[in-house]
Amino acid sequence: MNDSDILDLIRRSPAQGQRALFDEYYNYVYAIALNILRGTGNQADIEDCVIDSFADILINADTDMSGSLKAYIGTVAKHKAISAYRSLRRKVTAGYSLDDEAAGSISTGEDIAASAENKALIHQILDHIRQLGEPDSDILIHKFFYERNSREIAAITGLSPAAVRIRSSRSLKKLREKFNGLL
Amino acid sequence: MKDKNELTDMLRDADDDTISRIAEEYPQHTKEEADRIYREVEKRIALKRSGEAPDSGSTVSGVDRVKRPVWLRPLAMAASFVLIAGTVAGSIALMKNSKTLKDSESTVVAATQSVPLSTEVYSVTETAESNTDAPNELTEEWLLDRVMNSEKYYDKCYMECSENGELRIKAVDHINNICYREMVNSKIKDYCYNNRRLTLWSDQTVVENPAHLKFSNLNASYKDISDLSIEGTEEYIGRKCAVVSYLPFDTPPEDKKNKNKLYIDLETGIIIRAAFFNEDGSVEYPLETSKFYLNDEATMIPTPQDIKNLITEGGYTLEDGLSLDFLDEPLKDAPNAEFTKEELISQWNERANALSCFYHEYDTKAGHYIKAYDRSKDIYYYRHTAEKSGTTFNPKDMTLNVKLSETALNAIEYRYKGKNLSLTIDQNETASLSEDNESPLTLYKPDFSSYESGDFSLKGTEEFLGRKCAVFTYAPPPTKAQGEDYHKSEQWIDIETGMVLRAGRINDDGTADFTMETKTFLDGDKAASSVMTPQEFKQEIEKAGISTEGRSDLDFLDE
Repeated sequence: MNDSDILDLIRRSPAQGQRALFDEYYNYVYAIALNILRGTGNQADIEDCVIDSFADILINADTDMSGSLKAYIGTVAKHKAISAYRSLRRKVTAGYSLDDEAAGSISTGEDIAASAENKALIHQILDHIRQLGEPDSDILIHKFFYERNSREIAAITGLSPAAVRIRSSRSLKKLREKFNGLL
Repeated sequence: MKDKNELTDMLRDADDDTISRIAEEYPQHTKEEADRIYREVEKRIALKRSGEAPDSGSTVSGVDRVKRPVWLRPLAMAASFVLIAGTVAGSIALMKNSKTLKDSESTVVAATQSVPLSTEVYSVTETAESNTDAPNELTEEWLLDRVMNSEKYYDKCYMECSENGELRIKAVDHINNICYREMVNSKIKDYCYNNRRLTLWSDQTVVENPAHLKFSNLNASYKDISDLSIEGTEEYIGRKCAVVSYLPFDTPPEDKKNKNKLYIDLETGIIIRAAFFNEDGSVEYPLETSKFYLNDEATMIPTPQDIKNLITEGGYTLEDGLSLDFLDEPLKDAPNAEFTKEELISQWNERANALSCFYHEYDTKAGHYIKAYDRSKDIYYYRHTAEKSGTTFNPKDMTLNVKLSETALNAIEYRYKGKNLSLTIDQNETASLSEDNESPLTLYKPDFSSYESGDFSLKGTEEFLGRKCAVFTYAPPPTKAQGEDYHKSEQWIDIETGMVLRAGRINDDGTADFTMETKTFLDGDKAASSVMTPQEFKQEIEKAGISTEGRSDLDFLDE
């Protein structure tokens, strides 16, 4: 379902439309919250951020909006996550500001070039991870993006924890061989 | 890749497009999880629209210098125990007094009461003098034991509390294996009986909740505070309390002027009040208790029949496949058992290093496994030999999974001097050696996460290989029972260490088919002689066809 379909559904049937919007973007919002709150918040904090993001998004959903729904949702989710990050960090280092750190500001041309290069490389790596096929691609993403341990990945993939560890090592080795010249 | 962490770092710095791509290509959540989160979104929207939830908006707010007790976050989490009470007796009391009362009526009454409690006249069941066996001079050690092992010191408890302005009721009955929680403002009730949990939502639906309801007692957070000092004792709602002042960990020096305070009930170790001092000298009470009944006085704890009546007479709708028959079943996990399930699991989680040295060899129908650990030398190895054409044992659901034959491996995972190596020989006889940043020790700790859904009960204790074992049975929830991946199973777990010594499926005729069974279990000196040495591991690498000559990355094996 694309953005136009979702907005149309919200107009005709708000309840169904809101649920459709949630289903379409839940994983996206979760990934944003996780990426900003990892290492600072726990699972409950991440879920709370996702819930709060969607509550605001759905309350403020404007069916006449133009532009990308995804961009709007991503911006709200990112700001919510940054606020949550600040709140969580506050008790550890009161007064610490992370505007630059979490808001992703880019200040120099060199940074922009490096960022573009890094982005291209990440997408190449993701292409290669995808080519590994399941379950190896799932294992690598769970391990290195979602930072789950072998037990948790085992529960998701249906493999044993030992098999997860071994497949992860082998897949990583293949990646290393593939990208050795680039890194 | 030069460093495995590099991939993590790159993904951590991922741009929006990358995050979007990962989210699309690797969705994380099941339909059930999405449904659960969406219900929470709906509730949050309702709270925001009614003005009960702060609307933080979608803009980035500034940084406020506010101190909060470190335990506030765990306190606010769904499983925490301590709550606040209002001026009302709560819906359970009403339910007790009028069995036909509709749920919606009771919660509406409760939610309309004012929450602030500091001037409340409290119900007191015991005098302050009679509720403690505390020593004359309190020590940190005594208090820590009382708080961390709180549930040992009472059989039943019923509380009404105000927690961050929210009215809550919590109740536990260890004798009858009951745990109850009600969030009055949100009109949500949770009820756990015989290790199965129901959640009654405000929209009058009832679902089986896979996560067990725990009557935890801020125990984890109590360990997370620093600069703790015992101020003395004080009476609060008729209970004699230890008053403890503390600072959250990592409080900056400039914020160390005003300590926060906890009021700990001396008889039970339950934290029943918290005081938070602002920089301007004002004080807030994020936690206050108004009603606190123990044991014979805790008569307001709902029985399984109370809950069944509430659901059937309150117009609730059950999720597909959910039956309330378990509320009629007799009590399991008899309270006079030598151990409780929770005690054992708690001990095992603390005791990952219970043995200084062990050697554990076991067979499954799919292969042969060895686990060995020598703590003094920081050596851990895990050897897994599976038949190449065979099947793979899946500890998650105790099944032999024929679909995963491709994962049949001959592998050694070896940890030494803090480095973790994996030597793998795959089905094509190809050997590979790789380093992993995750210690194989993570495979040693017992893991019960797979049993959060369903009935995971302690059947009793048995002896096996000279070791005293706790025997656990697992039955999937009725809504999952038809799936191939879910069936009844049994685990025999070494009480001292938490290691699974036997596991298998329970057949329809009640017999057990052990698909995993330990052949050898050694500890101490006997085990030490069986642990693979670094040199022996090096020889294994050579035997697999990988030359170790000139490999500086393997020098640590010679140290």
